Amino acid sequence: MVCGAAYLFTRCDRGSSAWNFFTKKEAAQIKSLCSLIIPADDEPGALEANVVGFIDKQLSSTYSRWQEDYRLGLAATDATSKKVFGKPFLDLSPENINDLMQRFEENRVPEGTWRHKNASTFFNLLIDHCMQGFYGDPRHGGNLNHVSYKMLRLEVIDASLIFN
Amino acid sequence: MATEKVQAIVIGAGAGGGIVACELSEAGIQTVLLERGVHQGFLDHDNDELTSQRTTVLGNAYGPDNERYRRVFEHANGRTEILLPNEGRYNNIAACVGGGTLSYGAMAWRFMPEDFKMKSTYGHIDGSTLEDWPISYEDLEPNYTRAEWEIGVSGNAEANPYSPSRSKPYPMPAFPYNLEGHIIDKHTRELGLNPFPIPMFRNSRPYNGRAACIHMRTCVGFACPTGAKGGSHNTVIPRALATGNCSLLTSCKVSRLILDQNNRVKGIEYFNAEDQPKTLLADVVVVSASATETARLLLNSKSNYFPNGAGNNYDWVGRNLQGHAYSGAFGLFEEEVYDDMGPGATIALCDYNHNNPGVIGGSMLANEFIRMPYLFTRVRPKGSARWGKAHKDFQKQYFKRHMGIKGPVQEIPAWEARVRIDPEVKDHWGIPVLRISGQRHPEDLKTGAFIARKAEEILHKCGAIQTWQTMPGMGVSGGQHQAGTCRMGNDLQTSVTNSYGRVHEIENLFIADGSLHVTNGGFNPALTIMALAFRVGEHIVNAWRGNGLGQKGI
Ligand SMILES: Cc1cc2nc3c(=O)[nH]c(=O)nc-3n(C[C@H](O)[C@H](O)[C@H](O)COP(=O)(O)OP(=O)(O)OC[C@H]3O[C@@H](n4cnc5c(N)ncnc54)[C@H](O)[C@@H]3O)c2cc1C
Repeated sequence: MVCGAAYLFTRCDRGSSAWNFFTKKEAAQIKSLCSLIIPADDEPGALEANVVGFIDKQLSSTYSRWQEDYRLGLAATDATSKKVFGKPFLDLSPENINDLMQRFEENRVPEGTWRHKNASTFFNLLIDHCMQGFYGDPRHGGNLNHVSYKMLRLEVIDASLIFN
Repeated sequence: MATEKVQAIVIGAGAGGGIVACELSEAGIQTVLLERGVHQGFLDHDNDELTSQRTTVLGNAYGPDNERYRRVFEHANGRTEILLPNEGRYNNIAACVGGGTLSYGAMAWRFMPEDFKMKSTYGHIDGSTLEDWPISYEDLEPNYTRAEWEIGVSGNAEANPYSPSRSKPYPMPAFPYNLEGHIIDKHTRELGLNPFPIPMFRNSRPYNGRAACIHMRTCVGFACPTGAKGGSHNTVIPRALATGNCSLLTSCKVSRLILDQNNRVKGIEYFNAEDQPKTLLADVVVVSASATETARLLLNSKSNYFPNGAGNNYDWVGRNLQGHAYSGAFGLFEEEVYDDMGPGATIALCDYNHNNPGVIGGSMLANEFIRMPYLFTRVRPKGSARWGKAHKDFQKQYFKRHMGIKGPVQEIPAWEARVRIDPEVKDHWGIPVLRISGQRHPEDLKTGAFIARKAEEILHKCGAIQTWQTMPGMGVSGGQHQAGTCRMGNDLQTSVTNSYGRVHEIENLFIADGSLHVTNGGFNPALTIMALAFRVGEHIVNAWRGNGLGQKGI
């Protein structure tokens, strides 16, 4: 076998997409999902922390083994939306999306919509990546301005000070 | 060009290897220490939870890397899966100068006398290969003392009533408790238990030219910014290099031991930093590559006499893979219990380690190292919301209002819990990789349930408003506490080395790392690995006769 990260997929719509891996449409889908996984309240949520940028960046490097899961998972998300609500995912209201996410979590999806992997497997992966992006160190692209550390009232350690 | 020859080769600059290299080179033996990783420090991965050696979701800060290394995992139903080094089932420790000791949590435990005679204490256990060690606690005591003084341990020997007898106190006073420690101390005393400060490989005051600890939150899983955390990389390895008798070759990946036609090892083959194959010959070879990788090296090294791998004519190499069946509990509190004083684990008790009717072994119990923000997303009672506002509220409410208590439950060795060589998959250098398979012994879960219940009782007493237990599954163990794959023993048909770590039937091949452990105690293993490494090193030095090993005591 061959070691090393291989790009399984390249971006479909090159256009003006600012993303490394996601198409514009996929990025919009991920945004909707992440905004409900860690919503903004009186504190910033996943979107403000740039979690989508984090996941996109990781998918084109460390997470490359999950490219297919994301590509097919987001297509299946759209298919599920059409079957359940009769419209594309991006046209759903936040209430509908919330409902869809609960179905994913419990694997309650119409037959034939999730062929490659369980909906819950994909959803678990997305939750975990979202948490990494929100709570991890900003150097990886998420947790912009240490928003989650501020939320937890956790002091940010500046390594350069330790060596002064 | 003639192949280079040295007096001694030590493979792996981790806990065991660093110590043996120091022993040999200080005795004047020309030694080459080979390490597949490189020198690393705090700034390489400061504050980065997602690569820390404890969390690793974006890679292993201190190696091995995901590009060049692979392993295979065999599930109970026979299905196999290729693993990357940052995945949990890969069962990694580290790959860098210092091995696990660069980033470990630094608890420095002596095993108890019973841990060396588990079979005579508890009898035969069906379905297990439980056995006594060929040495006793008393045999190892002088080397425990050496490890505590030469690596540097802070502790209070009087405070633990179950502490085995000691020839010397700890070289540095114990650390004070953090807030959690004070709470647990008060309430466990009221329960009639005997809490005490955890002995740590961290300087509570300047020691041996290294600074005192500044209590980083990012301690376990990270290198230390001040050098206060002692490991082989900042103690014995620099000493070895200072003798002028030791050279440390980093980025060198040993692929095979070269055996002769009879009962000697002639040297090794390795790939250097430029991936060129090299050969190095020696009078004595010591393998200290960790319990998984040491077994791999032996199994990948064959000869006419050892068709199944060096020292493996009785099929014991790679068997009895053990770690710890970590069990415990978490509790939620109304008041804040978090004081940001790293590394967070400060207090332990040994009341539930041995001498509890109906329980085989047990473990020490300690409060948990600090859970960083991402790791904390996995700390939830069953049925909690995993996303949405409820997730966020839980993070905000309980990040500073939760505590964990858990213990490294002693495992009962199982013959089928093992590593062997995968027939197909190879790493970047073309070396066949390990396949990990088997299950833990069911007894571990019984002991785990006992320990988890006790942890939960303590958290209740401390005032927790909600508690829940955490227990391992039946999957094969190993991990950062991996041990047992080349056990010591007196019978060459039921063990891999003699009581000095010398491989049976190979007169100049030694092992000095976690592989040697017959059983793995109810404690973190590093101090015992170090004590054994001093024993192996002292033995080689005593047997050394100027230009090779004499016959005395081998
Ligand atoms: C995050 C973390 C926390 C821990 N906390 C504690 C704790 O609090 N207390 C405790 O007692 N223990 C702790 N441990 C475990 C402890 O670090 C290990 O038990 C110990 O380091 C094992 O020693 P070893 O000599 O068997 O192997 P290692 O220390 O792993 O050394 C093996 C070395 O061999 C090298 N190597 C392997 N194969 C090759 C090859 N083919 N060629 C060249 N070099 C090779 C490796 O790169 C490595 O450096 C922790 C470990 C980690 C990672």
